[in-house]
Amino acid sequence: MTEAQAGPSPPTTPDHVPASLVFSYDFSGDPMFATAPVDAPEHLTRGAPDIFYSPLNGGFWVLKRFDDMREVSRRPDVFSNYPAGIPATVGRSRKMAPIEIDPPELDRYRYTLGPALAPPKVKAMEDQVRSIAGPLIAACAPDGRADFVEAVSSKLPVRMFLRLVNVDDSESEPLRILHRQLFSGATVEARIHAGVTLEKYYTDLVRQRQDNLGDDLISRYITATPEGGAFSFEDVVDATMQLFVAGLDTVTNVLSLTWDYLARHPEMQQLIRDDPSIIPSAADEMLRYTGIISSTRTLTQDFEFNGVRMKTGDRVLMPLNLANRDPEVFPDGGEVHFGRKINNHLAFGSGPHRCLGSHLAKLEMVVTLEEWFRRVPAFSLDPHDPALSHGGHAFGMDRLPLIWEAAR
Amino acid sequence: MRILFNRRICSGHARCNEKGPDVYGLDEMGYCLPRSPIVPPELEEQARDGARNCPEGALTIVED
Ligand code: HEM
Repeated sequence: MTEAQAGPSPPTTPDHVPASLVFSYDFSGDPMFATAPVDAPEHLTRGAPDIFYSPLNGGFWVLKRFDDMREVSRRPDVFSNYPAGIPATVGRSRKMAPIEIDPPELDRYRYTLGPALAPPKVKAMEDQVRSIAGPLIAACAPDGRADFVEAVSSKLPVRMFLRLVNVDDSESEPLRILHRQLFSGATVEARIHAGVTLEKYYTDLVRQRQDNLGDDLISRYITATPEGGAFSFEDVVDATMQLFVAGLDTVTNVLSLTWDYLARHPEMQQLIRDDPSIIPSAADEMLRYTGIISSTRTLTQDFEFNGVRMKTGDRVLMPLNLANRDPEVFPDGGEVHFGRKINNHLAFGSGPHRCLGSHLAKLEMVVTLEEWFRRVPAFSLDPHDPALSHGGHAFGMDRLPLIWEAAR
Repeated sequence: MRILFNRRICSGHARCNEKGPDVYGLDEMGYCLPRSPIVPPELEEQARDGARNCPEGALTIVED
C-alpha cells in the first residue's frame, strides 16, 4: 500500500465476459461515497446481476451475495489473496503479510498472532482501551463540539496499537498524522511520502526491538518458531507495518460512521442511554450495517463460478457491505436494529483470512460507546460544518463535526 | 439436542462463545471448541443462539 496505484485506465471488458454481465461500479470514486458511503454499495449496484463485471479500474468481477463471498473466501487455491487492491498496487517488491499470503504459508502468521489477539487476551486489554478512550472524550466533552475523527476516532486506535507494540505514547501524534496521510493524503505524492516514511519507521522499530525483546506483538513475530519456519527481519517489518495498516484506519472508519449514524438518529442514541447493556449488540449491528471493507481476490486458474466463466488473472471484489445486506440472510438488512438476534455478519471477512483483530476492534467500539455516553448528552451533526466521507477498499470518514449542549 | 461442528470451516469469529459461553469454549487461537456434543436442556437456547450467529455456518443444531 506504500506505492502508487496505477492511474485511471480506459474501461476494459475481456472477451470471456458476456455483455449481459457488464455493469459499472465505481467503489472508490463515485460521489455518493462522499456523503452516504454506507448506502452507496447497495444503491450503486442496484439492478446489476448477482455476479457482474465492472469495466472500471482495469476491470473486475463484483460479488453481491453473502454465500458467494463466503464460498470464494474459502477457496484460496482458486481465488488468491495476491495481489491486494483494485487496481493492484504496483511497484512493490514484497508481499504484504499476512493479507497477501495464501494458505498454507499463511498459517505461520496466524499461529503467531492469533493467540495474542484471541478473546481471552483481548478481554484483558479492556482497562487499557478505557484509559485511552475516557480521557480523549473527557477532553472534548465540555466544548460542546468536536470533529469526532480528529478528537476521538483517529486517535484511539493509534494509542491502543502503541501499547500492543510497547511504544511510548509520545509517538502517537506523528504516527497518526502519517497514517491519515497514507489513506487520505490530498495527492498521490503525499500518500507515497507517508508510506515511505512509515516503512522506515517500522524498520527502525523492529531493529531496536531485536535487542529489546518483550511481551509485545513485534517480539512475538521475532521470536516465533512456527512450523513453516521463523520470520526473517523483512518478514517482521512487513507484518508490523500491515498490522498498523489493518488496525488503524478500519477502526477509525467504523467508529466515525457509527457516530455519524447516531448523530442523525437521536432515537437510537436514546436507546443506548436508556439501557447501556445493549452496547455490545449495538456495536455488532454497526459493524454489520457499515461493512466498510471490500476485499479482493485474483483467479489462479480458469474457473466457472456459479455459472459465470472466470479466467486466470481476473480480479474479484467482495463488498462485505452487500453481504451484510443480502436479503436472503438479512431481510431487513438496510435497517439498524441494536437488538438484532441473528447477526452472523461478514464485516470481518470469512475463511482463512478472517480479521485477526476482530475482537480488539469490537472491544474498542464497545468501550468508546460506553465512555462517550457516560459523558456527552444528545449530539447532532454540525449544521454549519459538513461531514466528509470517502470510498475505496475501506470506506469511511475524513471529518465528522458534531455538536451538543456544552456543560456549564 | 446435539451440536454438529464443522471444524474445517471455523475461522475464529468466536461469536458462538459470545452468545453461548456455557456451550461453546475456545481453543488457544480463539476457534470453537464445543464443550460437549450433547446439549443439556437448560443450555439449549445458548446452543441455538451461538449456532445462528456463526458467520461461517460451521455449527448445526440437531434437535432429537
Ligand atoms: C472494525 C475494524 C476492522 C474491520 C472492519 C476489519 C476487517 C477486516 C477484514 C474484512 C479482513 C479480511 C480481508 C480479506 O479477507 O481479504 C481483515 C484482515 C485483517 N485484519 Fe482487520 N478489521 C478491523 C480491525 C482490525 C484490527 C484492530 C486489527 C489489528 C489488531 C486488524 C488486523 C487484521 C489483520 C492482521 C488482517 C489480515 C489477516 C490475514 O490475512 O490472515 N484488523 N480485517
